[in-house]
Amino acid sequence: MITIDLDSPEPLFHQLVLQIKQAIENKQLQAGDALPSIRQLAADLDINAKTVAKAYRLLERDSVIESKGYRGSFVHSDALNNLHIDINEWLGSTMLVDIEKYRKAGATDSEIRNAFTQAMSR
Amino acid sequence: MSDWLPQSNYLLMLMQVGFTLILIPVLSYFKLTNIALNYGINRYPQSEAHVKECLAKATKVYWSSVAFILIVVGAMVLHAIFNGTELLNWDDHMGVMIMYLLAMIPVVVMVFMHKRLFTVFKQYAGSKRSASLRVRSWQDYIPMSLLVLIGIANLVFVATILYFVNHPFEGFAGYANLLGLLVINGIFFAIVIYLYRGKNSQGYYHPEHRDAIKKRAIQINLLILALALFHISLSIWVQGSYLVEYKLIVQSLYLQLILALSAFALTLPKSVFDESSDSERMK
Repeated sequence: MITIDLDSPEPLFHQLVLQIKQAIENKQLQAGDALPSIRQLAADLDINAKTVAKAYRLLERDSVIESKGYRGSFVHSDALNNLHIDINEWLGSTMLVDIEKYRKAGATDSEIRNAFTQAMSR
Repeated sequence: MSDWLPQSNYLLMLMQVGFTLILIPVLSYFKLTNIALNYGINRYPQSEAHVKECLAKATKVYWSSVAFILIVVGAMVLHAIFNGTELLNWDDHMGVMIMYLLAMIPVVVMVFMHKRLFTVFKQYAGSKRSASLRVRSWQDYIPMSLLVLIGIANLVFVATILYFVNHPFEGFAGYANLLGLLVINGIFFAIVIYLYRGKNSQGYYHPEHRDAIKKRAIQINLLILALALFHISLSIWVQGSYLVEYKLIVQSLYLQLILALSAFALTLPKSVFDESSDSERMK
């Protein structure tokens, strides 16, 4: 069972992501287990289906769950190993290595920032 | 017609009044107070004053409606008995149907009382919402035995129509009955889909409770569908085999059963109370 708090400052989709990860960690959900449909979970929690869809999308990106088309979403076979993947942390550390490389090459911080902005807008 | 039949018809009407306007309302009210006190206040102790106030208002409205309808229907039946006429000086079949429709009013009032009560619970449920991570499918709500029963009811209905198309009686609508069958099935399955997808149950504390309640509502709805189909088939047989005098008995018993089932759908399954008390003990 998962519980979300509507009054919590933490976004609802993030609460959902954490609760589902916790359920996998506590072995309430095992690799290959089916997850409730977006519609079912949204109806049970009386929240917008888009919020649940966003949580599922993030879990899928981190390979915690996998979508099998019309059959629904399932716990990823490698979910336990992927539970603690934090994409923000990974991005930060990877970018730090790259930024150090650019600084060593003599680029200033504003040049690096501009280059990133331009590259992102392409 | 047998001599005892008119008397038995009056007895049947009195029985219908007693069952639908005394016994069922008393039991329904008892169940409502049970939900309010043993489920709601147990779960949401801070709601006690609000729930009791809501219950006091509801009690007045409910018993006023029951008393009013009991007087109207009682007068209808007593008038027929003392004057030896059919109900409303018109037709017993229609009269029994009107008695049923009037008796449904307190059931509808009770539905609104439940809705109001659970709106109150919801206000005290706090900002936390819970859900089960178990995948549910329609098979969790509808047992195979019930589907088989509905299948049999449909088959009996179709077989009855096919038989009476070849052996028609006056007033038999022929194949048009099959269209009626489609409409009845369509309406009931639309209600099942509505109940299955419905999400106005946040007043129930636990997701398992919501599921148990939803499951029972769906099953009672489908049971009423099967009973309705069997009843229509039986009515056609009674009419087609010149036992038309007994049609009133079949009709009245059927309507009483449907009303009892409708009222029963409003109560909470025992498992909900058991889980409540279990978790209370664990606290």
